[in-house]
Amino acid sequence: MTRRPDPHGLAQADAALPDRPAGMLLAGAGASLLPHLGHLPPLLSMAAFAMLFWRGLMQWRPGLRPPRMLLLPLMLAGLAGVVVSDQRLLSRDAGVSVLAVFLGLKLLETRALRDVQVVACLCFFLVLTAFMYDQSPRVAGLALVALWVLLAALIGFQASARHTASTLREAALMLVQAAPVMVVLFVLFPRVSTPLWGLGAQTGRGVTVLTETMQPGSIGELTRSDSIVLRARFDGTPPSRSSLYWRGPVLEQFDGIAWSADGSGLHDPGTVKMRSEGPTVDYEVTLEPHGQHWVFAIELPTAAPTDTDYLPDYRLTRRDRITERVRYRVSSSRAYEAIHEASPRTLRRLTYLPATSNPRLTKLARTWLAEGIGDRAFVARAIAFFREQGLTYTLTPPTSTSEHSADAFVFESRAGFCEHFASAFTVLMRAGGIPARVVTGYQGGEINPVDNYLEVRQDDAHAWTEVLLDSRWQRIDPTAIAQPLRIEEGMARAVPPGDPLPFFGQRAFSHLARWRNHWDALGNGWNQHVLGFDRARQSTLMTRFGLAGIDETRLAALMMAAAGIVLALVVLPLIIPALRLPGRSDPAHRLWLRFCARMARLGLERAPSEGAEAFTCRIAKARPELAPQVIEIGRIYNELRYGVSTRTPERLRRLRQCIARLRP
Amino acid sequence: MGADANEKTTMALLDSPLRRIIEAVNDVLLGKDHSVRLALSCLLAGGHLLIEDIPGVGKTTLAQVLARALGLDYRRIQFTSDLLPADVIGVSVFQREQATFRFHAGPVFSQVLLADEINRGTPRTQSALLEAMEEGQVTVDGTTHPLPKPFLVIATQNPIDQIGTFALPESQLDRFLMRLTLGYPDPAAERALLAGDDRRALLAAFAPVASAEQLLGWRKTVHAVHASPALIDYVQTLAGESRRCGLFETGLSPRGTIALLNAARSWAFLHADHKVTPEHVQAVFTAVAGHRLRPRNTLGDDPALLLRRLVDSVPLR
Repeated sequence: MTRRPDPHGLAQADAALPDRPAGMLLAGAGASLLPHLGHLPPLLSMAAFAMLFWRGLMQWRPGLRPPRMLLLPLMLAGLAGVVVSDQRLLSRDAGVSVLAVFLGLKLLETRALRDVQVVACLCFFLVLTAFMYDQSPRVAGLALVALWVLLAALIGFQASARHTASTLREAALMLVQAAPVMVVLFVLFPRVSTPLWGLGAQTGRGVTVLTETMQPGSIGELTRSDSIVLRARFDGTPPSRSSLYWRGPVLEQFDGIAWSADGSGLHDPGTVKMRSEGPTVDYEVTLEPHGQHWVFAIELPTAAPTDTDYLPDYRLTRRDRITERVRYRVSSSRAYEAIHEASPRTLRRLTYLPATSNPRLTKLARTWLAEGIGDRAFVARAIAFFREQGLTYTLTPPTSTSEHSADAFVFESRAGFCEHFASAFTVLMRAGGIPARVVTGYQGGEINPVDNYLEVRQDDAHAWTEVLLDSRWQRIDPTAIAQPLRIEEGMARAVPPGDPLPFFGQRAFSHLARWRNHWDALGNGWNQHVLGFDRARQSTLMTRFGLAGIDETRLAALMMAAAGIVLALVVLPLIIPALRLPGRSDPAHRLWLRFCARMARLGLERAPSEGAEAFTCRIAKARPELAPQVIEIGRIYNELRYGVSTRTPERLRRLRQCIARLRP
Repeated sequence: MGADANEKTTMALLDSPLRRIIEAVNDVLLGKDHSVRLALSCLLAGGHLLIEDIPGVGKTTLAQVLARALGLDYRRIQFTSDLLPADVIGVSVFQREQATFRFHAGPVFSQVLLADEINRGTPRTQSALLEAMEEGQVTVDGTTHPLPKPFLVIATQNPIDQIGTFALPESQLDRFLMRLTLGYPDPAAERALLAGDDRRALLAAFAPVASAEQLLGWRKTVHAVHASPALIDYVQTLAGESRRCGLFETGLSPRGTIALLNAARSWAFLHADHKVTPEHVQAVFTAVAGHRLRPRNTLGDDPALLLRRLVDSVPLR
């Protein structure tokens, strides 16, 4: 049997893969599947991992290798699985599913190094697709780990005798060496105005968000979640938390139980103005996607940010649903007059109560009205009433079956959450003939000490009342009246002891909360600086480097040039030791090289490994007239370079003379 | 000044007995000047010599004539498959009168041991030579007996693929400083051989040119031959390349590298140089490295060609 030399092992079709790198490859494949677990159909991810496991067993028992005949049915079954799991075949989801299934199948038939390379490429691509779904630091971290392990596996296959630790070290080194080029590409790659990852819409599904209806318990539901709604960075010191009312949906429609916004308030509202009378607070908001149109600002924004509408109910909305993280700058006035010269129709709507709803509150209002008090006195009486009624603030209000929810709260259970307070107070106002509405949104937020961003979470969700007095809207927060701690110090302090709290609100977990602060700050930094590095930021950065208004073509050229330079800076230190020949510093050797160069011009080239004596003897034979000088040169050179170093300057001079005198 | 004084003494040495040794050996073994020089420099470096070739090209003659010319006491063992270690090393015999054991020294107790056709011996017997070659002593029944100084082994062997041979294990191959192949004589030398006197008669009439004391003295001088940092760089690069190039299963071991440098020193000394140059290293490289580097692809090129390629791939700089 003749075997041709096969230095790359490509033809070793039946040789088993070496254990260590094979294990690494499987680990890398697993790591590149991990970020997809959340969105792959469970059946398919189970199948992919099962095939990984099977391949692992094969390493141990080669007899378990599936016959080739089985691979085709397996592949068809995988494709069928993709179709059955209700995915359009030409969609992102189906594409990723097919990739995951085929990765497993390819692993099953992996025999030679060539297959390994295909598997590694598949894994790299799978890692890339993970970013179509999620661009969080978590996925980036997983991707980095997958890259690292896969690289180490590839190194391991090239040198199977190496230990795993040493291949991992080398792979890490390679990643570090690649990092500068990555940074250059990141900073200089021409950005298109729509995000590069625009295909992956983050709809915020599965996340409970504020909606345009409010019924007893709906906001309490929100507070179970502590996910972040928005982050804000203030220019200067942030305002105190009691003034942080993040205005969301405004609810004007009441059916006796639930409040809702049907948009009718936007027709014929009358004259709406806003007069700012004091200092403004300027800040930048990064809003997480929530799938709705509105964006949040502190009451009341002086003007709408770009691409945003300022509605007559002082709400900011965008035309498109917010399916991606958005960032906007707003300035809000802290002392303002919200002037609303309401049309009669609007006034009617703002005082409407269903005829038979909440009879006890309605009756209470009638008795007060019978005393003939004015609007302001009525409001003051209502506030006093709420304060004296002994209402308690709780996260777990008793479930009320009554259709008169406001009555049930004020007169029976006397325990409720902010929506109970706001709803009951608004009902009381309307019963008194005062135009009033419920405003929902978030109240407060907490400064993350790590990066000084204000974080507003779902559990800051809140509802309050607005009343129209003398054509001016006034905010009245009935929760603050009954339980001031909620507004001043946050929900966790306001809830009576013994009430269940959201996980992170609990004191015992304060150190966990500290870790969460760091994690959130990391996420925010990632959002702001990595994902948020859009075209605008890029051009700001370019302007700072004196490249204002650079166009895309030039930017691309600049990127190539910078990547080249950075690559050279990384590579040069690696190859310079090899370039720095040991002899270059030896003057005798420099003279010798000069001599060799002159001989080469005569057609007598020295072979790289040819010694001085052999070379000079060869010259002497070819050009006998040069023989004595040339042999002398070789002798002195050998003496200088390899002999005991004495009389070096003298010999050097002699060598130089000999070479200079050589007249071929 | 020191260097030049050194230069003169070395020259003087070559002028006297060493040159005469080479000439004398060349008289008997025609047309093998390079091999003779290599063999002599191997012995000057204090290394053991392995001569490998087909029968009848003068392996034994070279070994004998070298031992004689150096004026050394030599013994010869013909290795066969039934040769036992005791036949080489010696045996302890019980003396009834004194009620003690007395050690009868074997042929190994000589200054030059000719191990003829060493690969016909069993591995057990071959390895009996190991301690002797490496340590210069033998241990029998727990008693260590020092060997005479100098102690040199000149072994001859037939090519491995001949029937009835036991290949020397790598560990033992490594203990030979050089391995030489003689090859067929060129036509002129062969003609002289056919026309000339009987080689055995010539050998019998051969008179020693040097002595054991002189050999030991030369050895000291060989160790003093200068190896500059530039040369050590070269040797290191060569060894590194042998490990990296992928032509051989394993590269040159550190022991092999030391052997290479020592052989080059000896070669330089033999050629009246007080310093080692890369050319000296190149001259001995095949002999020193040939049996230490096993080609990776056994069906490929001629091993000597691979060694040549290796040397050519390391530039002098």
